[in-house]
Amino acid sequence: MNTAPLSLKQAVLVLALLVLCAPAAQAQPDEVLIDNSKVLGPLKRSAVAFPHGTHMAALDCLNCHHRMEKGKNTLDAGALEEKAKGVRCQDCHAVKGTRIAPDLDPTQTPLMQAFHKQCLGCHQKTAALGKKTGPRTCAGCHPVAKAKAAAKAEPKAGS
Amino acid sequence: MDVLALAEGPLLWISLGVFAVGLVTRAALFLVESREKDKIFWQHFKWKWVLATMAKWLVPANRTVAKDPVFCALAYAFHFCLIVAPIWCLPHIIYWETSRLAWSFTALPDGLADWMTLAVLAIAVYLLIRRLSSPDLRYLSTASDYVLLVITALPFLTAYLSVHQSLGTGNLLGDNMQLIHILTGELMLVVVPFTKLSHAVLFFFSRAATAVEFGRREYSI
Repeated sequence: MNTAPLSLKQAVLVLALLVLCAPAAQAQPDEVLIDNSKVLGPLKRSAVAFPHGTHMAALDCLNCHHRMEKGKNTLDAGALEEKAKGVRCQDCHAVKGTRIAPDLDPTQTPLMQAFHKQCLGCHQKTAALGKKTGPRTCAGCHPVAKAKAAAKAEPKAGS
Repeated sequence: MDVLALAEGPLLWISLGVFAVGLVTRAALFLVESREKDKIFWQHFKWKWVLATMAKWLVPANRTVAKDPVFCALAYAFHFCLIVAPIWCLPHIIYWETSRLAWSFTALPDGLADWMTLAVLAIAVYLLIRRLSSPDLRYLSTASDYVLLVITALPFLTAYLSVHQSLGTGNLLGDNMQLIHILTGELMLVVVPFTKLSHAVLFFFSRAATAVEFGRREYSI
């Protein structure tokens, strides 16, 4: 990987491109449907439509994606590609007996708790600082109307 | 910090604190005063009578049950659902899980928690009608009895509306139902030590007092 520092000219060019592309990126937010029914079994609440793009715009990848070793996040942000092992929360945080990737760092936090801590915990902390943040209510992430609509639709396996 | 952050942060801990410390204080004050004033009671105090009365009055095996089985069944169901549903419903456990204490325990199935919530509400309505329709009860009732019934029922009503998003979204009430639920729950917790709801703890003392009085007179406990 080329890690040489950018020249000022290159940096300005990259920035300009980013700024130009930004409206397009925001118009079509990169949304991920978080459906962990493979790990958790039938879901009690609706799957979460997670606006990944909004989070990418506001945070660094390693603010959320992590592989903790001795209290340090050792994950390489460059390795975060969609299908790579260890990118998804359920790769490490799985309910006992259903661990999906046994070669990855084991963790004591089950999947649902990991999600709630990561999402809700951060939203709560950010709100307590008086900053704008994401939902902090159950239905904020798990809307009931969508759950009903999903139940009506043909039942299918989780993604 | 917005209202929700306030409600699920400091206000939650304050209300739980007022509830717990308040109830312990009520119990302690009761005991201290009783030690001073109820000399005869303490001279005759026997754990045998006290434990017997608890066993008899905490399960449906007492005289009142035979006298009014419907009311008793409903009163038992009301108290059982009122205590069990809030402790073991999934959303509340998730609050514990994400709290600093990181407590986790098995939740009631959603459907069961729903029915228990509806049971509390239905029985609360029954209790209100009963209080209004019986001349004796009406005479004995004060405004606070009605207010306390409403304060007790509100967290359950708002819980149901919040979980099912019954009022929809895009309106002030619907969008803030979880906040309203948290606030009404906190209101109930806070009023418990200062009102008749303190029977949550003082029930045991009044029951014990009656048992010792009856016991020393050799009446049936």
